[in-house]
Amino acid sequence: MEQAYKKYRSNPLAIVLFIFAAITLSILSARSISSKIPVIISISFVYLIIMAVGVCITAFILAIPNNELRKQVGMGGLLSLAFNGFAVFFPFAVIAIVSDLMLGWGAAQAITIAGIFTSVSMLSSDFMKAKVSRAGSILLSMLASFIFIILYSSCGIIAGVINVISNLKLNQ
Amino acid sequence: MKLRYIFHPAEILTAPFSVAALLSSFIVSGLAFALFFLQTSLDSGTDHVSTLLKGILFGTIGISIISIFIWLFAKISGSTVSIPAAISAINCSYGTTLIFVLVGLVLHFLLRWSTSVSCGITGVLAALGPMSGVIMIMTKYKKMPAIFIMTFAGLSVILFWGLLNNLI
Repeated sequence: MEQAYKKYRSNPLAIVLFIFAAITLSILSARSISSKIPVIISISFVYLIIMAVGVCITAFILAIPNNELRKQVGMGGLLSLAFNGFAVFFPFAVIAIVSDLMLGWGAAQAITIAGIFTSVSMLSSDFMKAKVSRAGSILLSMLASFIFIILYSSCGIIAGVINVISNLKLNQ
Repeated sequence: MKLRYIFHPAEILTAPFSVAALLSSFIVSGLAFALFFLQTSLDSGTDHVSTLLKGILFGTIGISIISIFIWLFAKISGSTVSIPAAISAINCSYGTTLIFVLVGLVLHFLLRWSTSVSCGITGVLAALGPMSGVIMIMTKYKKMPAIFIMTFAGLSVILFWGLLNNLI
């Protein structure tokens, strides 16, 4: 695993792809909630924080059964491994851009959720290389995906409610 | 073809090749896209028969062409997988789409919901999950080539669907 970890850590392109995808999906998700630029910027910022928190939580959950990995790479290494793994968000960000700008769907939130599922399952397979049992890894990846998606969806719901309330106040 | 291939299509690449698995995989992707396109025509009110035929053609010939490109890109990054195995594994990845569109059709007929985007497109995106396993094996676990191949696979299906349904 240490060898695999070194390979991921030495790949800054993966981190760049993840940051690009996270920013893109955050902005497109925020755009589907409101059309006002200050609101889009603030909601995007919250989404970005939630994505970072979600990736950290995923890393810690997937590392629970793997003492060996935690000792070898430490907390910083786990996070680095997780952020590299989440580069799988990139295809979903590109699909979200095309679907939003070319096809006119506001489906960024659904696309992000599909991206979270795929990224977490791929990340768990990275952790499985470190001899985590298959059943345990599937259960933990489901738990991590579930927590991440609840965090992400709750942000959308809260932002949507605040947006509706502020629009009602403006209309009054 | 074993039923578990629909949920774990990557296993096709490690199992001995069989013509039956290849033919069954065409049924899986053909049916998935036929029903997905049918959902689109039910939502938009266009001609159901021609849309269904487009779906069957796209699910069989279209996906096979995309699979050949995926195989080619994977070959460049060192894949040793054969074309028939790659086609059957990628076709079977759309088993997830098939489940989503079946649920979408049930919801459409029971509750009159428009489900082509909520269940159809979500189903196509969900297929990227099992497909990522297939692509990772084909690229010998090289993450960067796999990510770019996944982008190509997801994007090409969405764009072709948009083109065939006159959405672009």
